[in-house]
Amino acid sequence: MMNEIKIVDKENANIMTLMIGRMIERNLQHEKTSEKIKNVNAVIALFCGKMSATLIIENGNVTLKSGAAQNPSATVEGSLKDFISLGAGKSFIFPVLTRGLKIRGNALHLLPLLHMFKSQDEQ
Amino acid sequence: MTTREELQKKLVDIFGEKRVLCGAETLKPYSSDMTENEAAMPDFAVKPHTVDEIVSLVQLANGTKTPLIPAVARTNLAGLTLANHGGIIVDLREMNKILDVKKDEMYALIEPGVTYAMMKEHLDANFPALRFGYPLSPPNTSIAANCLLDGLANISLKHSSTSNWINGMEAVMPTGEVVKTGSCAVSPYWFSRAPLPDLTGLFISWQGTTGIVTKMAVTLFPNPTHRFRAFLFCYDLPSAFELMTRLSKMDICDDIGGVSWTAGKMLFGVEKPMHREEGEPEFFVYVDISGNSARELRAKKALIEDILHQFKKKNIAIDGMIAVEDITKIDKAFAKFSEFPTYLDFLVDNPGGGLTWIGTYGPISRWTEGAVRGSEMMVKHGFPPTLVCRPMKGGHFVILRLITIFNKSDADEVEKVKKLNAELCDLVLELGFIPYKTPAWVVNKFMERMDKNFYALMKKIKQQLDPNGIMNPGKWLL
Repeated sequence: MMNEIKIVDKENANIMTLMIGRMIERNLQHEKTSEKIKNVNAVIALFCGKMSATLIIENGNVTLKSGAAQNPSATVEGSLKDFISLGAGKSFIFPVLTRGLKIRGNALHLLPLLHMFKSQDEQ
Repeated sequence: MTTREELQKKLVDIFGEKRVLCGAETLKPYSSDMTENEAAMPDFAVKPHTVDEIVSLVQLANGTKTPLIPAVARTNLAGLTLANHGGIIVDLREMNKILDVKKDEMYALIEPGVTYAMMKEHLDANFPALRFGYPLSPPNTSIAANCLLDGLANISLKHSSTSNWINGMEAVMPTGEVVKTGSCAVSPYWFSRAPLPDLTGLFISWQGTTGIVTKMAVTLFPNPTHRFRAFLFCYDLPSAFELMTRLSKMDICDDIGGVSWTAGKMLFGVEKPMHREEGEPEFFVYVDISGNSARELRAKKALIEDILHQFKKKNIAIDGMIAVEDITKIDKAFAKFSEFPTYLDFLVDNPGGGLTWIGTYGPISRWTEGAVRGSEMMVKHGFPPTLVCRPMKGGHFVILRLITIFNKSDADEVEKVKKLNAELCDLVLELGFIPYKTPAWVVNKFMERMDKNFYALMKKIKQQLDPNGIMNPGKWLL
């Protein structure tokens, strides 16, 4: 079963939300990705400079909205360049090790995020 | 006085029945364009194939005092091919041969219907060591028309506006003579406009009011083997324009362009982006660099990185460089910016069907102010502040384009757009910018500040060349 992503208030969403939304939407078209997140429940806050977004995964259903949730299970902070690199299929390891990409919270909840970000050409 | 039926018969004698178009339904596509300009139904449209046919047409038009409006793709955003005084649209699309390419002299000799798409395909297949410059206009835009209207392209940073790429022309004068300009008037080669008196200028930016160009030689350029295109995200207009200004004067980029945040959101499917958070990028700059080796390319990239580092030291945040290939992996829509010519469907095929701009050439010292004040004005009128900008000719002058998408079938919105454009025009003129591909209504605004003798000379030349006033009457208010 292939899932869809819902972007809350798309007309007023920030560019980070739109970009990440498009990345995830593209990858959710693939059954493999949908399978990997079908039993996941997580709230992940994403920060990029002064922009933020919240990714909510509930039993495989994905919602994305601008603004950071109060009590996320994990957070990811990086530049737009870092997020785009992830979306383009580049490894997250170097940005994490060099603190370009900062991860906090429940790392297990971040694994599905990586699947949803990663270009399907790389999977 | 010739009746319509008599005129039609004479046109059919010249072109044959199939290439003479008449009737409101058939002519409807020629009666309007994407802009807010009023529709204007022509009397006929004809599709010439030869210079002799055009000569016969011009002679007929002189005899019957019938306006002629030369046109190709009709994608200009200034109403320049609307038959405001009736007449005959001279649809040159079927005169579309690439007649010759001289690889040593680096020029192509083309007919007016040759498009950017055709040129790209031809050069890629047959002359890969040569390249041409491509605009952000649709790929079916006529090269000759864009050059004659002094448009711009993706190597205008290096080589200025596209009229500068005209080596020479053949044209049918409004009185029916065929003239050549440039070196081809003396030499079998169309290599340059120098060292002869530059009569090519009698046709550049005259908007088809001085004749019909039937051949044009355009400069081609060496095609470097290594290329890199990247985006940079700037978080405010002043830093974006400072970045573009600095890079343009370093002579390392083939092209530098900037688009406002609204264009980014439209690419992601937001129809009318009016909201931007404080922390969002305000302007997306793209840079295009090339080199004859990987080493040269690396050296140019390093120079750009140095500039970005200087901005960082001043605490000015700029995100990038992000290769266009990476962004394209996120959304194939960004592929539009990876190779030219391209089709910006989010602008051209917008749901409301209306697209207009105040597109200007102007002084680099007033660029930032024009962008900031123009954006504020567009928001004040309820439209997304969509700007597309480029430095030209090594930073000697710049493009400032304030673009509005609107609903053409909403009369109120059309009136709002007209009002906005009028105010934007006043603003850009105040700052020393000049709208290019100038619509007639803007010429009225020029009159307040135009050198009187300049316009008097235009009128004199027009009167001499076109005594019966048949060539695209009304444009430039001539």
